[in-house]
Amino acid sequence: MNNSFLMQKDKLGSLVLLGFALVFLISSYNLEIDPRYGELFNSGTLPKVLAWLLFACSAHQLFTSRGGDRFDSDIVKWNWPKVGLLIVLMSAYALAFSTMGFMLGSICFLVLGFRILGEQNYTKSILIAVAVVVPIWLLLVKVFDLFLDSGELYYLIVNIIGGAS
Amino acid sequence: MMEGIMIGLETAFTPTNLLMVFVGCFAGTFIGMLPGLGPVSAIALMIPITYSFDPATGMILMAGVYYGAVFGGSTSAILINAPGVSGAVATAFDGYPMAQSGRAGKALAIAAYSSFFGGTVGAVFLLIFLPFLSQVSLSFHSADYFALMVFGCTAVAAFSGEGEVIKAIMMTLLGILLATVGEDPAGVQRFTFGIVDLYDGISFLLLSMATFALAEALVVVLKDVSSKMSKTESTEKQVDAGDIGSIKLSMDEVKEIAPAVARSSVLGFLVGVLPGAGATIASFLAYGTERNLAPKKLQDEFGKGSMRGLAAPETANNAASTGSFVPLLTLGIPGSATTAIMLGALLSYGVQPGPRLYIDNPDVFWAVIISMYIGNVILLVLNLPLIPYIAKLLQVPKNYLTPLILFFSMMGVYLVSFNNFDLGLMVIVGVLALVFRVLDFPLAPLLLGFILGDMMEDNLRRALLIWDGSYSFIWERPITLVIMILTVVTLVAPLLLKFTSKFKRKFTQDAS
Repeated sequence: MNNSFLMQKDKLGSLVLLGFALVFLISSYNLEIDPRYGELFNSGTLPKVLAWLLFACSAHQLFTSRGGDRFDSDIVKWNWPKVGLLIVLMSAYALAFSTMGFMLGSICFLVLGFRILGEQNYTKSILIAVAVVVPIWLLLVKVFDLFLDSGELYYLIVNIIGGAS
Repeated sequence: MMEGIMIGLETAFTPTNLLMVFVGCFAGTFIGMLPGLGPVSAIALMIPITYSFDPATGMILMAGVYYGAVFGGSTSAILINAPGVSGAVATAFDGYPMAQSGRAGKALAIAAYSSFFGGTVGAVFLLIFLPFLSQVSLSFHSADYFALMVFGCTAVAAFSGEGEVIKAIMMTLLGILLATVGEDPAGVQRFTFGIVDLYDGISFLLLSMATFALAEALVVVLKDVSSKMSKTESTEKQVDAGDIGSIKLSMDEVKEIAPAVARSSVLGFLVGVLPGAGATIASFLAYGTERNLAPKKLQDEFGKGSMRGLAAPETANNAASTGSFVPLLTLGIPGSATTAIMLGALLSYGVQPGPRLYIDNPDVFWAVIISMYIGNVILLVLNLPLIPYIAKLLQVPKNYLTPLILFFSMMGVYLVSFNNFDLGLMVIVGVLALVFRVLDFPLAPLLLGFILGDMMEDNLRRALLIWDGSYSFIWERPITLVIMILTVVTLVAPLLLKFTSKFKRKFTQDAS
């Protein structure tokens, strides 16, 4: 396991960078260059040079490096599930922001974030989240007069309440 | 120069700006004390707040945060053996043993006085050399700037550790490539893949928040720094952060550390001026130098609670932090990740750092220098007596702190663009940054390349226009040629040194 490709940090990193180099390289050759902007230096020149350089460096590192540092056995003990859940939570927050809005989305984000990291007391979590989010909302919306999306859910609730009354 | 100093004093001593230095120092100390978060994260978190300020006030706040974070990093290094910043690692060598032996207060006082002295010497040197260097760099043309940008990118790579050079170069290249995303001056959409939200390119704030604040917070959770630490140190004597003992130093103690502080402040400043060298290298160099210079009896104390061993890296650390402003303010190239973020912030305020800053925005130029000194004074007179209380902040539970850092990072980015797309992009960049962190690929060169990338292309484009599309400016303009030669030397020298040391080792082995 310790000698496997997946345990070699340099090679793995180089592989990721090689992927980037290829994407930039292919895209830079597909750029629609305005013919008025010279042959010697145009919008594609620098990206092409840089992408080739990145490609060469990462390929060199990938095929000639001895692997550099390897992950030690502690890697399996790292908190991968917690970090994974936090990433999922951040993605959900980003995706649901327009639906849930700033206030509700942020309170849910914080409460769930506290829970992921081990806080079991929901009352305490909700109180802290509200104590953080509400003053920020008041400061931004009421003092600085900024527009913070209230979210489709908020308008839906307002409509339902309005319709019922 | 006197006129400039007066402008700086006038700007820095307004009630708002004084308050900003104070707030910056305090916030920086708090963030810098948190294991895993350093000045870069602290400044990145502050940028969205500073957008509503005028440039001078914004820079003053960030300078305060910088100093506070460096000081905060030393505090956590001394009290819980967890340096908040890499520059404070050498501080922990002797600071933590001092704290364990019941001299936490003295250790913190030595750190504060040494930082103050290092910062003061740095600020004085800055005051003397900056105007002169700015005058010299006024003769620079776009060709020279292009060469300087290339030098700035490679210098950071060359100062990386053994085996890290190629990784740093690759990350710099990726950073420059990311800077090309969006519409270029010729109106061509580059690497936007039809996504309208990418037409304006990737924002500097998004990249810096994602690569530092967000990725750092995730790394803290991933490696569970604090719980790991408490496990490994359960057999060692713990330091009570709330009871640190006396912070007074005797005359003999002052006499013992004085020579180390004097030497390290000069050394630190000079190392800090070199692009890419930074506070970490300065602190280790100063520690090593003092250890070698110390008498045999005192040499044995190093690593076990030596006052010199603590004073040297602390002084060098702060002097280097000040020195790193020289390339930023005179040439417009950042010397470290922190100054790279500050450069990005200056550009977003519409201020162009470099030799013209001295002429075009003297208030920003001089106010930053003066506020650095004020920051040092504030750290000494306010933070030192408050240390017992600030230290208690170290006990804030991580399960609250990390989600809050993630929330503030995402909000910081959202509040600048008000675009949900940026939140999603930030998560993607943050995850990629986490991958690179785990794989030990440096992120500072990525940010540096990103910031310098735009300027590099602009200057190259302009130079080619002036020179009728010919690249001959590289060898026909003396300044450009000298900088290009320096670039090659900086890149090749570490490889040559490595090769010669290997050859020497082999030769001695064969001879023996």
